Amino acid sequence: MQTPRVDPRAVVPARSVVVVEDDALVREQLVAAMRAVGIDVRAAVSGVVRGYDAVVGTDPDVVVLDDRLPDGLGVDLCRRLAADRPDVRVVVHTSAMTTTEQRAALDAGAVAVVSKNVRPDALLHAVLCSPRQFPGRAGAWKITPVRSVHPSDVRTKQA
Amino acid sequence: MGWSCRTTDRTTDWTPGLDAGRRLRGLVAANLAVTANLTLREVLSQIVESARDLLDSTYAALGVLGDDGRLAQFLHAGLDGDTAALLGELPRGHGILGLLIDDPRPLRLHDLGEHPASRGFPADHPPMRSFIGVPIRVRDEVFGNIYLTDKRGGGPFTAEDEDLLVALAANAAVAVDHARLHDETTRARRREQASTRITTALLSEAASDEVLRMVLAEGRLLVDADDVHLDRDADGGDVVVVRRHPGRAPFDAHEQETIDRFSEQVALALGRARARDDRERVRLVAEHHRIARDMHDHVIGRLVGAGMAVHGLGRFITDPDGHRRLAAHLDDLDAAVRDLRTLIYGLDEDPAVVWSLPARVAQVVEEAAAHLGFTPRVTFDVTVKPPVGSTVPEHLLGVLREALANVARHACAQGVEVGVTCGADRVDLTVADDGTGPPQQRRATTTSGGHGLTNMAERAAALGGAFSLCRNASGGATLHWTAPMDGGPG
Repeated sequence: MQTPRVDPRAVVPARSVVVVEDDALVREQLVAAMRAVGIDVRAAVSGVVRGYDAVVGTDPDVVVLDDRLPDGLGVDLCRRLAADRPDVRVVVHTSAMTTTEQRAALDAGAVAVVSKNVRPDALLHAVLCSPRQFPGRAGAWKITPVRSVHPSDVRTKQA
Repeated sequence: MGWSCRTTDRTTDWTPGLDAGRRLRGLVAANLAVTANLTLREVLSQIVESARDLLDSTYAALGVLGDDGRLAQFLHAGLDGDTAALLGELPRGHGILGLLIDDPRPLRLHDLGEHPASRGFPADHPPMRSFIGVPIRVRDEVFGNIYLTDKRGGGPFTAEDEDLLVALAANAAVAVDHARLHDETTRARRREQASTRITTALLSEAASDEVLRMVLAEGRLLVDADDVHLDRDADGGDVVVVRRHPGRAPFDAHEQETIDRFSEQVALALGRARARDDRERVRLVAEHHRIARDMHDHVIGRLVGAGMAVHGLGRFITDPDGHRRLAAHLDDLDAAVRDLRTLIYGLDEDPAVVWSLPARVAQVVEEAAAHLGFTPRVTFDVTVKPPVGSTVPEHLLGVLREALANVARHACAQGVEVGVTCGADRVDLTVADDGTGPPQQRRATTTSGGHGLTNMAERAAALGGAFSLCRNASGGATLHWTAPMDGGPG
C-alpha cells in the first residue's frame, strides 16, 4: 500500500478514529482504507450503545458514524457524544445525502456529513481535514483550525 | 262572399253526394291509421298523409306551435324532396298561416294569393290556390294546425271537406295526446334507467375516469341530449355542457331541472374521481417511500459494501492494466450508487462531503494561515444555527476569505482574531488585526484590496446587512460585517 500523496506544507496529525458501522463488510473496508493512510483505528463496532462505549473507552479524535444503526440513529449517538465528549469530532457517514439528513446531522453537532461511496476518498478527506473542536458556549460548534490536507492529496493507490 | 268562406255558409254548399259513404269510410280509415301509431312524430306524419288523402288535396302540412306562439315544427306532404330542399327554411307562421294561429278556427279560402294577409310565396314555391286550415286542440290548448292546399280538380274545399277535416283533427288531437303521454312515459322510463345506471356507476368500484365517462354517457339519455361533456369555465371551475343540435327543441323547464340534478351527480362523480386519484397518489407516495427505505437499508448499503470490497482488492493487483480496469469498474459502481441515491431521494446534487459552518470557517482560516504566517484565533458564538440551504453562510465565508487575504497582503499584522456570532435573526463577523490600520480611501478604490472592500460591502447590501472597516484605538483595523439570518435573494 502506497502512502497517500500529501501536500508538503500540510502536516497530517496522527488521527485516531472509532468506526461505528452496522454493515460488517463496509466496516471491514473502512478500517482497511483508514489504516492504509496511517489512521489509528481504535475500534470498529456496530450499534449506538457499543459505539458510545467505544468512544468513551478509547477517546479518539474522530468518530465515523453510520446514519442508521440496528439500535438507533447515528444522529442520536452524535448528539450524546457532542454533549458528553465535545472534543470528539463526529463525521456522519450516510447513504442518503438529503437536506433533512444533513440538517439533522449538523444540528446534532457533526463536523461533516459524508455520502457513502464505493471509494473511501471523501470519508478519509473528512476524517483528516476535520477541524478540532474545543469546549465553549456552542458546544460542538466551538472549533479551532488545524493544518489540513487538500482533498486531492488523499489518494489511495488502487483507486 | 268574396274570398272568405268562414264556415257560416254551410247550407249553401253542403251537397251530400253519392260518395258520402266512401268519404266516411275514408275518415274511419284515416282515424284508425292516425291512432295506430305510438310515437308523436309518427302520429303527426300520419295525420298529414291521411288528411291529404281524405280531402283529395295536392299538398298537406301540419304546423306544431312552439312556446313563442310561432311554428316550432312543420311537417308536410306533397312537395317533392327537391322542391322542399330549394325552399330551404320551413314557414314559421306568418301570413295566412299566422291568421290561423292568431284566430284558431277553421279557415277556408278560394285563393290564397287574394287574401289581404297573404305575403305571397317565396321564389321556387309551387303555386297554390285553394286552402283549408283547421286547428288541432289538445286538452283545450291549440297544439297546431293542419293545412291543405290545391284541391285536386281545381275547385275550392267544401264545407263537407271542412267537417271531415275538423273530425280528423279532433281524432288526431286524441292521438297526439296519447302519443305525448307515451313519449313522456318512454322518456321517463329512459330517464329512470339512466338515473339508475348513474347511481350504480357512482357506487361501483370501477376506475374513477371510467365512472365519469359512464355518467356523462347516461346524461345524454337522461335529457335526450346530443352532446354531454365536461369543460372549464373562465375561473377554472368544472362545467357540464349539455347540448342539443341546432333546430331541435330547446330543453323545457322539466328537463332543466333534470340537468341540474344531473350536474350534481357529475360533481359527485368528479369529487369521487379526484378523491380516488388523491388516494392513489398517496398510495404511490407511500409505496415510493417504502421502496426508498428498502433501497436505503439494503440495496445501497450492500452495493457500497461490495464496491468497497472490490476497491480493497486493488492491493492484490500488481498489473497496471488490471488497475486501470478496476478503476473503470469502480467508476461504474460509483455512478450506479450515485444514480440510485439521486433517484430515491430526488436529489438535485449528491455532494460527497458537507461541512458544518464552523468547520468551513476553520478551513478558510487554515488556508489563510499559510499566507499570514500564523494561525488566527477563532471565536464562535452560536445560539441559533443557520438553516440548511441559507445563502448567508456562503457570503460570510467569502467575506472572511477576502478579509484575511487583505490582512495578509496589506496589514503586516502579527495576530488576527476572527469572531463569528450566529443569532436567531443575524450573523456577525469581525476580523480584528494588529497591523497598520485600514487603507487610505484614495488607495482603497485603486488597489485590489479596495476591490475586496467593495465586494464585501456589496455582499452586505445584497443581503440587507452592513459592512464597516475602522481603525482600532491600539492600532490595526477591525472589519465588521453583518447580515440578517433569513438572508436576501442569492
